[in-house]
Amino acid sequence: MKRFFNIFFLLFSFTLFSSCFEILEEINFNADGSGKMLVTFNLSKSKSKIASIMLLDSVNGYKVPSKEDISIALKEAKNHLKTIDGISNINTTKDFDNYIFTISCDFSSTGNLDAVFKDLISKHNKKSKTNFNTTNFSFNNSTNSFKRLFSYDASIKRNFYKLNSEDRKIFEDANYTSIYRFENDVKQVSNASAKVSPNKKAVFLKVDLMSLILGKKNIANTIQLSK
Amino acid sequence: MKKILLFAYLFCITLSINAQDLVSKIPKDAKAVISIKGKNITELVSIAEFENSKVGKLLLEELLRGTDGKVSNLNELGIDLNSNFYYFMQSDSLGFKHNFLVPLKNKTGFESLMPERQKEKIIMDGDLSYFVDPYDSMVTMWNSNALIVSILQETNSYDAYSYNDYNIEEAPAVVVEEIEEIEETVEPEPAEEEVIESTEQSYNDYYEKRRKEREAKQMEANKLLIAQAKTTMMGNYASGSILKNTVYLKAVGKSKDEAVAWIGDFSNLYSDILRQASYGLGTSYLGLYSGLENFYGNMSITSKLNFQEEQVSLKTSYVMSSEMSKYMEAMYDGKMNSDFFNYFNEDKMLGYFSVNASTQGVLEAYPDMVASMFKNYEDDEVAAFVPIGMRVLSLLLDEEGAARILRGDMLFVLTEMKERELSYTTYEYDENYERTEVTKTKKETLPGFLMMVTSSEEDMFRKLMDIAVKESRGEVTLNANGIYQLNTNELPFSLNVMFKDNTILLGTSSEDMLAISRGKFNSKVGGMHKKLIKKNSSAIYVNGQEIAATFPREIMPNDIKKRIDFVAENTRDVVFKTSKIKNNTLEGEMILNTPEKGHNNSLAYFLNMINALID
Repeated sequence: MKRFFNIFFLLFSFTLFSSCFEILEEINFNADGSGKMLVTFNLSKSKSKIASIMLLDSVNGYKVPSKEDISIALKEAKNHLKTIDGISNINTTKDFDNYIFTISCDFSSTGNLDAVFKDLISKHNKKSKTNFNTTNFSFNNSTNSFKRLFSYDASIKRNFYKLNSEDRKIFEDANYTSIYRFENDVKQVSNASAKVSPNKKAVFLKVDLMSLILGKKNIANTIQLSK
Repeated sequence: MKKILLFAYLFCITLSINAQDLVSKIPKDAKAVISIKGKNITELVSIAEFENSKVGKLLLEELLRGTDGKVSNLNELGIDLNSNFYYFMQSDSLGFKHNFLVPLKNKTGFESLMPERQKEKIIMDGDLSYFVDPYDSMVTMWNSNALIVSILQETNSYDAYSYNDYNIEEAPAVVVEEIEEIEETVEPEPAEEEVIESTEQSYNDYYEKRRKEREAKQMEANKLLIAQAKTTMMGNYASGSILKNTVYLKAVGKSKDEAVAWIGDFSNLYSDILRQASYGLGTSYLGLYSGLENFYGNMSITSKLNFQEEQVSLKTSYVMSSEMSKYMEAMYDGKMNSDFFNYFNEDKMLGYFSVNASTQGVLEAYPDMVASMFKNYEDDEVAAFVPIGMRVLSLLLDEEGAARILRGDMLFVLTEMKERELSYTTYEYDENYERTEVTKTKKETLPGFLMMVTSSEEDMFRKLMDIAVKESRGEVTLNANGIYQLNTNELPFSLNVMFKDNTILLGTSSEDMLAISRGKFNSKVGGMHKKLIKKNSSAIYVNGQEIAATFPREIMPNDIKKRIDFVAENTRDVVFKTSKIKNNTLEGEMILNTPEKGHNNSLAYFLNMINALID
């Protein structure tokens, strides 16, 4: 799983200058707390650059991952998901024409979904002495509220400034989008940047990665659902 | 009588020039010399002009800060910027000695640069002052006219490891033996602590002895370095100065270059390196040196940097041995295909790269060259095997046949930087944030090029391409005009390949390929480009102004755009060329042409360019 993220970070970092990439996190929740998650990495807007770069062995001192490396990373991510209780129907897709990669799975409860990243984040916190929250998703049955947790850690900015100025530019046009869909109506959201759909069934949040990296914006959100 | 007076006058002037010029302090046997002609440079850009430039101001600010306000302009440094600066290198059994000679107007300016702590280390010897940096093997010595910095670079690393009592991972065998002996002879069996103590003591004694030996060696080397620096400052060499070295004088010539770098004799230099690296095993290390001598004997390199009114040139002459020249000449004895010029329009070109080599020459020369290199190798097996292996290779290769496939001449032309519309996938969301995948387009600037190589094997080309058409699952196609097209997601553009007369053409423009195929391509090549491509073994031409003008602005941050605009406005073309071998000499030249207007000369141009580009 870690290899998976490393490879995609490298691919993003190769889309120098006019880098455009998007990360899309979609979760459809059922009323009983189960649901389906789909994460999409879309590098299509930089596909001509990535295609050229992938003909090389390395760029800016980074080894360029091959198609095989990416396939292995996706497979490892899939294997990681298989080890988590309550996670089923795991699928990955890879489109090397447009450089779009997806991972999707069904989960029995929000706790199972949270476990997907928990182990990975714990290991990272221990290794890099960071303080990222290990719980990312939670659902409170009694209050019927869903929480997307995110604690900003100063190491993000610190590591960002360790990159050289050219490498930093890769994040300028990149963005992260989350769409959470519910069966119950959304009554309230805590994140001011989040939008609630007119039918009150979906919450949409789009954040440019630079704001996220510099701690200017946050993806944390508490979504209060009707009972 | 008038002639005698004139001669006497000129002789006196020459003497006084030689006396002032630090070149007379360089020994005749120097292995490498670099000279920077202060006067030539200050004539192009005066000291005041430099001080007023952005770089100059930055330098002065640093000087002011570094000297606690004692030096506020270049004049106060005490350095004679109108005289010549030199670097020269000597080598002997100790290693390489790098020497920097700086002309001084007075020594007070230079001395004022030193912190008080450093001044306390100055040793006076007649009119000479010096200090030694014992750990870096460096001597700095000066009088009122000159400053020399001599640095010893030891290439023999036998004694170079450091003394560290507490991080010893592996002790030298001799120490281990000593320790074992100690352990064996100690009776009765000592307590564990005593053994550890005794072992530590042996380690300490051994390394203390080695440290003292190293220190003594270092002191000896420093003494030699000081003595040599004094000799250099005096400039009284029994065999004369570098001005008596006819090879140097011939190589440097009398041109008005701003800087000249010369490396005298590579075989001599390699001999020193091998001697230093092989710990006294002899100059003919395994006999490899005598093989190398055939190639590198009498080989020298001279580079001359010249700032002229409208161009900067760096000309490098590479003089080689007859043996090396014989092989190189065969390798670069190529013939440029004149048909290339029928597919080339200089008005629609951003740059090009040409190679004029001979495949047949390379394949014929290479086995001989390797065999000759190992001729005197002292390892019998290697010495016997290499010539046999090379002979077998030579017999197996059909040099003439290989040259029919690729003759060795090639021309790559960068034709354009063109904006192309590319599609990409993204998402749109309806009002309930259900996503739909959509295809949008964006513009990207991609290069266009045409590559040409000479070949006589049209039949082989067609057969290979037909296999590609069959096996590539639609990525390679053949159109009705006999042009093969490669479309793959791994490339952001289509590639067109075809065979025309005796040339394989590979290019991005299908229109150009079609026109070439029908014999209707509008070609145009002037004498300058024809000469550059045909007469040299390789050439690179870059139309800097055109490239900067067409450089994709959308991929640049805003602050870079302005600078690129300035570069586009103020850049002309750049040429790199390497000649064919002539009289055992290969000449390489880089010429950067500068704009006719806006700059007094090419050095001032660079200063203006830096002024415009730095913040």
